[in-house]
Amino acid sequence: MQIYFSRSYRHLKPDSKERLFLLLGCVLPCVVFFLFFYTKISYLLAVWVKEALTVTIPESSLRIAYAEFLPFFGGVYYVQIPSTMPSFQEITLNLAVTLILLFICFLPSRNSKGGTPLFIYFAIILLTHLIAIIFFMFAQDFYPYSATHYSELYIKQQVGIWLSFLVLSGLIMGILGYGGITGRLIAFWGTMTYSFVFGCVRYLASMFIISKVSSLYMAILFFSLGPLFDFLYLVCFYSIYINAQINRFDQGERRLKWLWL
Amino acid sequence: MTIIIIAITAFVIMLLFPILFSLFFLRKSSGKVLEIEQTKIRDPRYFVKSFTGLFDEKWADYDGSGKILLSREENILEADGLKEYPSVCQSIIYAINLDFRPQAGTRFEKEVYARQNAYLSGVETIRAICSKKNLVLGNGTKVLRWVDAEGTLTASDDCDLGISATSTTKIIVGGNCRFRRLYAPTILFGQGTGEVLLDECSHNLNLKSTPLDELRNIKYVTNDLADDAGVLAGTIITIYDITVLNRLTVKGHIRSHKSIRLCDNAVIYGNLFAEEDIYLGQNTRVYGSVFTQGSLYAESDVTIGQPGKTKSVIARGKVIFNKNCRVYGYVSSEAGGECCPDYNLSKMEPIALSRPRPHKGLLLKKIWPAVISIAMLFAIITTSISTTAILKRIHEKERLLEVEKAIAKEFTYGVDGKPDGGQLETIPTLVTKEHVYFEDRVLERFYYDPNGIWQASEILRGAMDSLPEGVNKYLMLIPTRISLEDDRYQMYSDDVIGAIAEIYATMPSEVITIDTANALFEHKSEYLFFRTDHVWTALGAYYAAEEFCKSAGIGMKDISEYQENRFEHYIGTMNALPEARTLSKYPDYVSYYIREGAANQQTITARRTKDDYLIYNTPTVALSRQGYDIFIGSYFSHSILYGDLKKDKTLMILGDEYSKALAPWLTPYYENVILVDSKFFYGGSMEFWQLFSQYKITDFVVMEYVQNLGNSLINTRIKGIFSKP
Amino acid sequence: MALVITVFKVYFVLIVILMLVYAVRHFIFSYNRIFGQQRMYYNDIYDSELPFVSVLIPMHNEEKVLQNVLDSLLVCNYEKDRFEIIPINDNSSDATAKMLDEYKVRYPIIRPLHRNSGERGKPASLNDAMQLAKGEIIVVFDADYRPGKDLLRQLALAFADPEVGAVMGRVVPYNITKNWLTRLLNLERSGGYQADQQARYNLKTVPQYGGTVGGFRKNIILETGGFNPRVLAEDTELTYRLYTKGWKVVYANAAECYEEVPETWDARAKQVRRWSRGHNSVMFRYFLPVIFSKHMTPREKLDGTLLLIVYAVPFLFALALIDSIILFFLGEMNVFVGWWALLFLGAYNSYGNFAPFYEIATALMVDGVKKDVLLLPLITFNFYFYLWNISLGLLDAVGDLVTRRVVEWAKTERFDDSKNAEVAQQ
Repeated sequence: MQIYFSRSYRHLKPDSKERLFLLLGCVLPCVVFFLFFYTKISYLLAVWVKEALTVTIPESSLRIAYAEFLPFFGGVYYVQIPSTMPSFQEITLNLAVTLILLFICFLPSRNSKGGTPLFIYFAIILLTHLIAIIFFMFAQDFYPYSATHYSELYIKQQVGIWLSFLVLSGLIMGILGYGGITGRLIAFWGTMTYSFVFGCVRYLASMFIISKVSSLYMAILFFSLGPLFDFLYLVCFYSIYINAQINRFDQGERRLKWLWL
Repeated sequence: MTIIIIAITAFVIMLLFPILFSLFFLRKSSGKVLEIEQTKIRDPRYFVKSFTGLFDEKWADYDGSGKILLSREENILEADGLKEYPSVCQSIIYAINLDFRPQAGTRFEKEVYARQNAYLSGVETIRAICSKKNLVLGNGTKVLRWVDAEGTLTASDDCDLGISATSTTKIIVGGNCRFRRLYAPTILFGQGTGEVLLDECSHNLNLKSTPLDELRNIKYVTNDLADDAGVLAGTIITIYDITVLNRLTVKGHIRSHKSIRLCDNAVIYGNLFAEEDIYLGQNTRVYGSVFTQGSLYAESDVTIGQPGKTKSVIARGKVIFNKNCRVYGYVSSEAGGECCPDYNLSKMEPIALSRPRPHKGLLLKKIWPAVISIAMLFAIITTSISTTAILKRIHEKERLLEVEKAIAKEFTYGVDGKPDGGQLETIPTLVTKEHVYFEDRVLERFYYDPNGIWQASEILRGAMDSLPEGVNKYLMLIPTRISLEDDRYQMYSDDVIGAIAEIYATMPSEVITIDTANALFEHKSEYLFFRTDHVWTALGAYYAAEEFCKSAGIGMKDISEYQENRFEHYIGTMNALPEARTLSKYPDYVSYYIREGAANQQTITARRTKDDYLIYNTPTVALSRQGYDIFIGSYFSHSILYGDLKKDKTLMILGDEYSKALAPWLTPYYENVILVDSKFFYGGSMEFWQLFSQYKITDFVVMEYVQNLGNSLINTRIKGIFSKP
Repeated sequence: MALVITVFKVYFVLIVILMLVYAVRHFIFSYNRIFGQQRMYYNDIYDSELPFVSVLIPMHNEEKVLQNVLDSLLVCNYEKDRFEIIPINDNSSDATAKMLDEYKVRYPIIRPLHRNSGERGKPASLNDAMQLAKGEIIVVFDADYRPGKDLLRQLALAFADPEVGAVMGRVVPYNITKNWLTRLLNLERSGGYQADQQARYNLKTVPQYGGTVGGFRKNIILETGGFNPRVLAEDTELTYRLYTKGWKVVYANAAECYEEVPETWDARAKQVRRWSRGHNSVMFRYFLPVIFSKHMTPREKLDGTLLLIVYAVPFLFALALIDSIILFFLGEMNVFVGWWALLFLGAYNSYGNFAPFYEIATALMVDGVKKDVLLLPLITFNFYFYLWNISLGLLDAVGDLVTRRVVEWAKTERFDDSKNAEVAQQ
């Protein structure tokens, strides 16, 4: 029997074998594989998005283009789509709605029960959108991005996200993870699968909005629905994994794994 | 559309899923406050008090059944009167009036509670035992959990004292004994009698009453630091290993970030705190507590604490006491303590502390900080290098861009806008069914399809016939680039000019056919078509427009009246072809022409209604666009251009992407030029004829790229547009 | 223009690197806490000669809660002749003074100090009380605390180590069931104490003295001029004062005490803003002294510096956010797309300077708290909340520095304590 200090000192012994297996046998190969195949993946994604968009945009105005990305590993494919500039009515309407929403966000008498972080988040997003509105209002023709350009930006960002998440979730599950290899692999693959699917549908949704509605929403899409929401699901899956581990390490054999100083 | 709807739905769901998931659990579970045992206090005799307290309470209700309910029901044996115990005794033993003396070879798997003395001789293992008087553990006794005596607790050689051994009087520990925690007013190691107490030192040790100097970061306490009596008055705080030399006294505390070593006969009045091991030489005395994150090694005759006071010896690692050591208070060793290990006490010789015994764990302890430090250093270095490299690259890129701009300004382009100033490649790298690939360009191959030609003729004739009387009708077909290339490449294409002529021949007489092919052919050495795209350049469109104006009787302005501007580095749609791997190295440039004072050159904000059908006021030269999009902007259903003429002369062009480069050349000669895109016009015939009549079209041009002639989509669209409502 | 854009880009890159440094730091802390060897605290020591402790309890209108802390201290196991309790009635307008006098009559160990004039605020109160205090060790509790029986002893033991200048225990929120804010704050506290503080203690960097559930050596403070009433974060200031003078702060993970966390976003915003203001004031004072200190180890300097600027980082990050928006509208995002945008947000998310998500998860794992870890995604938006309020706090601190204005000390709003206290006791 150990005399233990309950939660003051208890810790776990690092399981080097499982960690090495996960990092070297799973994560590293995935990263290498991805580095060599992201060009192909982006091509397939571009083809899929192009096919999906032909329903609403004439096929002849959709193209698949290629852009350089990482020097040694190759570029990425993306969909060239027609740009749509916002009309004056659209800009004005957006301006009015944005200002109203901003006013609501900053309303002094707002009850704090309403969730202030959300309001601040929305305020920042709305301010970004407001800047975009002003830009389009006064300097529309100097707007630096066409829809195609945005598409290229997006796909590069997305490939970057996938690559970084492979590394990040690998590091977190591999180094900070505990418990059996199965749980860690499930968490890792679950996160990456979700990331992949999410990235694909977000691409299609973004391209649809940009080309179908207007380029006015480019900034808000880029800043509000970007990497922050990717981290959201990473944290979500990580928390599910940790919760499972907390339960497992609280009973049975796993309880004996704790070291008490 | 289903896919898009599904994708957007999936996107929204996946976006919100993590938040909704958390919110669901927020509602489902109310949260539990982390429990703090408010009433918990640390008591070294916690185990025995806890057990005896519970036992005494339950004993009051004992009915003699041989079972007693403590935390659960246990068997109980009353020791008084028992001659012999089972070899493996699984009952709690309670000895009330007689001493507890079990026979040798017994194993007690439950607690033993002796109200009198207890003598264990030859007992193999015992779970826990307490005695209200004295307790003696014979050689080799192994206590699994705790042992306590209110009198003297004596452990003979080779005993294992379990997790906790406590006494309210004294503990005597024999040789080769192992322990974890010991607590008693006096603890003697190595079965020394402990008669020599430190009377001379048990008073005037109040360090608090004397202001202490502080010595920092010293490695040795030597005679130089001490006074004549060999006393150093001061507290030592050091980041180094520290050694107090023989016979010196430190009237203060010692705190080291590494190890502490007291040579023989050193005396410390205060506490010792170390991050690493502590070595106490022979006959050293420490009057305060000793605390180390490492291990403690004490040679013989070491004394820690003072009689009448409680001090502690705490070690994260091992604690090793040799013979005749004394501690007044508490000893705790997480890795386990030993008394006189591997020594036969009967042959004890004093052993001087020579060199510190290396701790096995020491090396391992140092690896991780080093690894982490190296990793961080590596990360910092690589980040710095990569940042520098990236910034350098950025700078280089910007410099290159400047250079490129400078080069471009001097117009050192080669044939057809080739950036290296060279000639066109002559040898195809690849020939496929649809294209001929060169390193610097891609050519579309034309296939003569009689059926397609016939269909196109029918549709074009029908279109022209449906136009009202009085409208000037024109037909302009644009050849492919390949037809203007060198003769040796004509083998890759059917006769474009012939096909065009064939269609022209089927047109009614009132339709004026524009000999675009010939107009282009006359200037074929000029930059008429892009190398990386299938469309023509503004210059190519100019020559076509010139031919049109000739046919229409319009005096066209010369190109010299226009200011040429360029959009550099245009890579067109051919680059998307998987086989076109080298094309991006030879980008085109897009020239656009601005004439001062022309009304149609203002970049007017595009307007668009919700139903996508109508777009007004698109600029002819959209400076915010890129590449070929400079002309008119993106792909619109139809565009209305404002011309320079203020007469009722309007032009409608039904065409594909070629019309976008053509239209700006014609705006000086009309009040409006309406471009109807043969691919993207979203309206039907009703909208078309409404547009036609709204702008009172006087001149109508159908222009098509010859490759589109057989395109059923375009044919259908044209047919649909021209059908009468 | 090109120069301006380059400056923007360089700033962007620098902030990303800074975020990465913090992310790595917290990663190391998390790893150390869950897998590393834990450094023992001194709570195993039994010593019959414990120092004399003066327990100071600043109070301002605490009639609702003061009984809890006083009753708890009266039954603690510290020797009654080795400590005294000095509740500091700081210009209270309710029945605080009267109640304290009643306690004084019944229990000689309680010696209230009534302050009815002079400079208000915790630092000034403590300064006055320290003049009266007999103890060599000062322990400070908030009025709403309910210390356990053994807490005082656990804190006092640390001072057997001659290098220890201050000790800090762990605060555990008890009103976590109130709403989702309190639940999230509980997560942050867990991460901050169980993982972050303990790891810093293990790694011998700079555990922070938190101003309550902690103690310090009286003579050090008095010799260095007492607490500065101009500084809102007197606890942070004490930490750095000690370290730059060669003392250490130790963290006692087992010395746990219940506390109340803000229950409204408003109260939390004010609290965070005040912390930021105070902490950044300390940063202005101690940034260079930390770097040039002769007493701090390189590791302490590094971590101490990172800790010092932790409340400036959100503002720098906000500037970087604006920077990225400007770069976006200038069409310059192409260079940084994907990588830096991701790292930019990702490295800090991590979710901020209080405790990154993996640190919180580590803490909950060690505490064995089930299910609450599933609330981690909700902390996402707290990031913006802290970004805003901490940035305001920094601007307040800059304003204080530039205008040399006198800061007004304000305490965190109290909530209905009675029910929560019962919950805690259960």
